[in-house]
Amino acid sequence: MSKRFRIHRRSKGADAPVEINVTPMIDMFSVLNSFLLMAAVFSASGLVRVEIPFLSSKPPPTQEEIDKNPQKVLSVIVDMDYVILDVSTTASAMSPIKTKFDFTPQGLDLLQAKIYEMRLADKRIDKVTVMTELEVSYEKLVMVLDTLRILKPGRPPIPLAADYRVPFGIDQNALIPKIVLGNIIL
Amino acid sequence: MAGDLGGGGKDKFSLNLYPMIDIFSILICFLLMNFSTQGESVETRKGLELPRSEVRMSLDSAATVSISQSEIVIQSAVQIPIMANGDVAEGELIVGGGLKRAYTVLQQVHRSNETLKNRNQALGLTEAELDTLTLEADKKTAFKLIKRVMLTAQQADFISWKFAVDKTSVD
Repeated sequence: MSKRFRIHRRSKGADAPVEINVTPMIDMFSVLNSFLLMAAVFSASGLVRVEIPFLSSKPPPTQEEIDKNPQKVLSVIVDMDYVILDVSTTASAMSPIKTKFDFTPQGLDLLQAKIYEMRLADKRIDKVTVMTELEVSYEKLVMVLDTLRILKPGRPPIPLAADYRVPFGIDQNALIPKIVLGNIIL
Repeated sequence: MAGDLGGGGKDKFSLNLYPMIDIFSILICFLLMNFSTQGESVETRKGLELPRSEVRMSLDSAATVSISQSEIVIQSAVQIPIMANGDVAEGELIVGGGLKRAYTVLQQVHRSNETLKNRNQALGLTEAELDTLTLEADKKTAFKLIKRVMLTAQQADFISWKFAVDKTSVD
């Protein structure tokens, strides 16, 4: 050990108490604490992805293809006091089946249960068109979007088909991966 | 740590700093463990309170449209006042119900995104992300206004949206 690492005892006498200087540590702790408290994220922002209708260059399926392989078409109409689930098919001219739910947590839970059942029975259902009345608030719209996307406890995620690709940025366990805001049409 | 009190007395007082150091240590450990460098947070704006949501996806960066109770702000560049009836002035509108000034800004954003796409695909952003806008709207905003903004964006070729919400749980 070289000289400069030797501990020099003070010449006060052998009885002088040995102290650790904690002041620099407290200084450092205070600065670190202030920084972390200021930078802490106590409320995080999340996102809900939606799409609006757009024109596609893909040719539409022929009537024969549609009749051979009919698919359910789901629409949700968001009103001030109600949410209406509208179920039709691509094939026949069958009039749509409309089910009305109250705009309450219980009503929204029933809506999710209904869609969950339908999706379990037919995994091809991956899109819901949401039609919103003009007076409906953003908060209510987000509640409906949450109902369509996020499964309530007790509802296990629906297994996806092997060839199905969940759209970019959507949770793998989402109830409905594709949500289109239907009434944004020029 | 010990110090002498004045007055020439022999009494020594000592300030016990160990509890404070203990608390500081625990607080720093907790804050460091919860320190998040991921995700974006919404800039606090007067009259803008996001709705709560159970989503788990964190907000990331994209061009932003903000709707507070008093104005619509497009990319911090254009402010369109909202009138007492909850709508914008007639003079702000274009054919189809969109917003004139917002359309100009969004078109510029779209053009610069196109340039970015062509110039550098290795940026880590997919094309879908560049075609996406973030909407930060006050929870009381009527869909009528959101529709106007979305129609405008549709005219400027933005078809995907990220609705900013307050997460009920912080991951």
